Amino acid sequence: MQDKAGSLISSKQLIFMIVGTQVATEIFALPRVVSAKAGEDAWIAVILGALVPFISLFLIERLGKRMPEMGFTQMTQALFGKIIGSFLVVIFVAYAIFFESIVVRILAEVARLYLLPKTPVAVIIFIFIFITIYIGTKGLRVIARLNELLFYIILLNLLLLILIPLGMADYTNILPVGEVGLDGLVRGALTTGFQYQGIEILLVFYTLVTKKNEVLKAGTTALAITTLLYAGVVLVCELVLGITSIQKLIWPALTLLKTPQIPVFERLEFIFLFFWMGMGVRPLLNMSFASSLSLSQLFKIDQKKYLPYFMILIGLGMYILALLPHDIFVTYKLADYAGYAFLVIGLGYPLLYHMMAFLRGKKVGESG
Amino acid sequence: MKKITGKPPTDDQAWKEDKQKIPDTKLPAALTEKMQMLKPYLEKSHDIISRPFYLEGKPPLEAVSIYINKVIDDEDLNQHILRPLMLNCKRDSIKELGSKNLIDAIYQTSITLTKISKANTLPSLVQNIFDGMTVLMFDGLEEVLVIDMHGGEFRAIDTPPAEQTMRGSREGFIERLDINIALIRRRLRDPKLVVEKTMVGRRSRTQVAVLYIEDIADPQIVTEVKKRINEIDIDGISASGFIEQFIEDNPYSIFPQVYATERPDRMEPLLLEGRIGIIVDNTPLALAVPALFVQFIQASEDYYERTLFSSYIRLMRYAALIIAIFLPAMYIALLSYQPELLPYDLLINFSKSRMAVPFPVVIEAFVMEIIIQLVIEAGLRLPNQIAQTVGVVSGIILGQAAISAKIASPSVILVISLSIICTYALPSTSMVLAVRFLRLPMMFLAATFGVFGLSCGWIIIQAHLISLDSMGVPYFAPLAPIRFGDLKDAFYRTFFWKMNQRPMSIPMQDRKRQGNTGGGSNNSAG
Amino acid sequence: MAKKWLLVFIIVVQLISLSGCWDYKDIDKLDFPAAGAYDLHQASKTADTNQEEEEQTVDLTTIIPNISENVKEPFRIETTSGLTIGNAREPKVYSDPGTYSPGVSGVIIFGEDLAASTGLKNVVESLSRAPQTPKTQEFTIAEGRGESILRVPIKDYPSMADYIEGLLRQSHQRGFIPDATLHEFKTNIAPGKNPIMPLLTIKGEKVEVAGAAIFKKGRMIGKANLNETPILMMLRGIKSTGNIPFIIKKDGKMFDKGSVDIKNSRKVKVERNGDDFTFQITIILEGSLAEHQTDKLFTKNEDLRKMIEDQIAADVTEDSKKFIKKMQEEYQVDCIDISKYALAKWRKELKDKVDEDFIGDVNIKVEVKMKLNNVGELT
Repeated sequence: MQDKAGSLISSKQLIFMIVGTQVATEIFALPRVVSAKAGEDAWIAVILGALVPFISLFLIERLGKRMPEMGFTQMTQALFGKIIGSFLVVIFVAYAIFFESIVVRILAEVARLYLLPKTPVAVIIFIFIFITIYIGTKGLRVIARLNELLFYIILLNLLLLILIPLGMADYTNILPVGEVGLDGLVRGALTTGFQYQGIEILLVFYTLVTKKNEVLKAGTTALAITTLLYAGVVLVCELVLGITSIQKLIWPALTLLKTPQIPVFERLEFIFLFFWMGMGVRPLLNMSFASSLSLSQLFKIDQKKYLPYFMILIGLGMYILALLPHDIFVTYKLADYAGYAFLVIGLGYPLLYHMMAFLRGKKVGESG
Repeated sequence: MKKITGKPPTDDQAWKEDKQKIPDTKLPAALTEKMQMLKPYLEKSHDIISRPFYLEGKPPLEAVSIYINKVIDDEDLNQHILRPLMLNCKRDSIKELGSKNLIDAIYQTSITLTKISKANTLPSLVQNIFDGMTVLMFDGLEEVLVIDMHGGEFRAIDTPPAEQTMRGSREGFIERLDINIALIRRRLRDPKLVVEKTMVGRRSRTQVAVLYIEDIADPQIVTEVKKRINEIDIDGISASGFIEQFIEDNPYSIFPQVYATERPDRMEPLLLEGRIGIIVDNTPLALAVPALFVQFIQASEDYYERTLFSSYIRLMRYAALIIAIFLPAMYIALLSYQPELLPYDLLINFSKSRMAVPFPVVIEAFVMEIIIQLVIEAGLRLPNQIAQTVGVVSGIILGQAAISAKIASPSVILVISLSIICTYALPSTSMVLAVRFLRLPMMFLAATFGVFGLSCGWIIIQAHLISLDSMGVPYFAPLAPIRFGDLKDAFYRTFFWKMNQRPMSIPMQDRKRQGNTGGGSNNSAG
Repeated sequence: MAKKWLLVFIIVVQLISLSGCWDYKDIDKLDFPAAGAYDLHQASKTADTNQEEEEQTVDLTTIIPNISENVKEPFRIETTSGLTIGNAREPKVYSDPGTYSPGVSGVIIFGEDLAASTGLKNVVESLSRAPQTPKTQEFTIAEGRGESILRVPIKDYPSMADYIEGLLRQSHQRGFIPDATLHEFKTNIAPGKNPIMPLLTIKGEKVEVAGAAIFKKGRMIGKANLNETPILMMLRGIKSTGNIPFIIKKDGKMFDKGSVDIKNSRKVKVERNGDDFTFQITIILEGSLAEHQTDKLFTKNEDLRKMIEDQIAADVTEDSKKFIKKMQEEYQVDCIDISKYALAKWRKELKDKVDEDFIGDVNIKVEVKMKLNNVGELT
């Protein structure tokens, strides 16, 4: 039974983990970011943008199939040799820390704006990281199950976000369809492509899935869910707020929740944030677990025993990085770089590995 | 690893460890020598009675019966042992029966009780006496008769005080193990119901019975439970709570991981769902493992009332759980961090009622919470009649006085008492304790970080619940890992004729529960 | 052992944070305004009419409930001024020990002069920037000064704020009152759209709704009186309910007279022929007969129902045409919210010019479909 082993996940849990890594803070700003490029057709761009992570998924899955028993670190070292391999793993870990430090910073900024205006951002980030480390040390089993449970709460939350304001929709806001042209659509789609960051955890998690033949299906399902959620939120934002307003809002998805007139209780965004703040740690958890796993494999030490120390180390790294940006706009600038980094890790890595595996031929499989 | 053998507890393993205290010698034949050997063990215990008598014959056979006063049934002793042996047992006629072994002949012809065994070593003799057996020793015979005739005064079967129902059985477990097992046997006449007895406690030698249905319960879990019980090494246990604390998976957790019930009719469905029952002698509370979180929200009444109402009331109970944990914390968070969240009129009312109180909301709420917790604790210790009065007095008078003394605002008293009421809407006493405890850290979090703190608390509680195990089974099971099939008995209770499968969350061998396809006239399809 | 250290660590962190409590505030030390009114500062208006726009100051009038039991007055009304809205809150610090906590008031009143001179677009900025404000605050325009409306004494309600909020919240469901929230105002200053707001006035001792204020983007440019407002709302497609009268004349004599409770909705079609745009507005009215004052029975006069429907349709069409003419000639602003349909078809092309006298040059046709659903208990 995979539950008892505690080091494997089912393909169903993989869906939740991928969705859990993807859907976090991007969704707040997504309507603004995409509609800046794709205008009224932002929601189409979001759907098109899913191609980027899908290619990444496909490449990683093929790669995993080539060497199904090898973990990310072993695979890298087998392909590129000890030194270059270790270097590549360290880059991956650095990317994970960078990406998550931005996520945690944006979460903290949201918390600061809406909930704790005077609390120093360092304290808020510290709490996020502390929770991440606390849960992370409980192991993969707990992380996977937490992702699973929270997935349904995310669904409920986003349905709240999508359905309740829908009564104020104005359909003329998204018409005419397709006027932005191919150019705008492609640029919008590329921008959204970055927002699907998180699929790259499959590099690490592939070996941990019990049924390897279901990985592609699970990954596709996860991407479909994320795409639907993203497109839904962007569409409703456009319908209700219109893209002129969206451009002026820092987090349109949150402002959206303030618009409906509900008797007695009008502050939907607080309910949303109450659930979302806690759930914000999901990508941190998944990513920091993936990177500490890779690190422990790199140093070839007992994973169970040293995992907490790696988690603490990575948490510290995230903490320091997250405090570096001066304000939210710098953070979003950095988020753009994280998006480019995603292209390198999500698309470049698997391509590179494939090429290397092709060059090395069959030898690798045997030596592994 | 030790194993439960299923034999009667007379030659139990646990005793062997302490064997060195009593020299392991065979019993001599002569009665006086036997008495001499026993003397050091018996002379300091004045409640042990040795009653010498003679069996009629030529020459008369000298015999002694030894027993602990009031542990055995006096009537049985007189009627079924002393009377037949002294008046009817003729040594010669026994010999005539052709029995090779005199002692066999004695009990086969003259003793009209059923639970009889023999012993021939000093340790087993001594232990049998202290286990409450009646021992018959005869002159010239090395073996002694050990007769189980436990009796004496016990509490009668009574309604379970903490888990009362309107429609269920009125019987609750009592302090006698055998009766408790019988209560379950009466409800569950399945030949596959296994009852295995063992002993825990080096000195107390408490009998513990492990119950499960052989072809439903998962053998791995059964072995695990037995292993954990057998590994308990303690001088004495006085209640089933001891066992619970020794076998639970996460002793540092606030949540109960072993289900305790005092209702045999609650135990029965648990056994049918593949759980393992543990009944401890002298405790009217039976345990069941593996326990799931949702189980502590289910009450036996849920199954006796009709489906729709049961589901409604169960949903209410979940609401009560959330209110009980979060309401005071939410109150603090709203009033001191996010007041703009409240509707305007309520906001003004709150600030009007707060105006007179000199303390911050946090302190006000903490003080009230602690006072009420103490009132509850005091109420538990007091005799029933006084407890009610004290409850009313402290509830009304203290609350009123606190308001007029401007120590607390009416709203805080409302909030705290509401959360207390919701706490006691939960059917399981052990979950009530967990919730009572959990409220305080939540209030702390709300006091430091408001709604944000609550959000963090919520996720930590969740992660903690998910990380728990009960006998290796995920504790938060139908929710995480989510099992849609089991949700029909988690948040609500569906119709019995729709529960085709036993819960997936508990590992077991046989999943099929029932075969009906519909209620009422549709029933025939099964 | 590790668990023990973890526990100690958590407690220490908790205690440190408790000692911080950066955002802790006591609810009874906060001032929650029930309503706010923004006006152009009187002195700056009278002293120098040619004053530079950026130097004009704003008056902020607030109703704040008194929470102490010892004060007889249920609330206090204060006026402070500053360069901007946010700045106008500042002087409260000097006169009020409570911390002013904006963002809970349900009603914001703008003075007519403020709305007409500087426009509200930038004034509203402060409200939509603050995270604690809901986007559902009711916006309204006061004839004259907003301050004077808040200062009208009121008996039946706790304060003027409650009265106005009750008057305006979801008011389009009660009658032909076009309510507007912060959110609606913000979305309606997008290209192709223009906001409208309810207009309040003081009549004798009472505050009343006096129609609608018509905006060009953020700036108020006109008023629709109580007769025009229902037509404006029907044309604009704000779903509302209300009662409208009818008089049917036959051969110069009065044939029937009465009123109908109606619900309205609209459909808009836009067609294009080169640079000529034609909007076809269909107003759909549905309703039930409230009364008719003659003894004619529906059972006997089979065409009576048709006559009532036709009469109302004709009345509304005529008024609509009048209003559209006024709109195209006088306001030159699309206050009936139809340009968006043209934008929905040719957004790229029209985006820049839709707000520049586009509406003046288009053809607008109105058709009214009236349907009398039922006539009540009487025949």
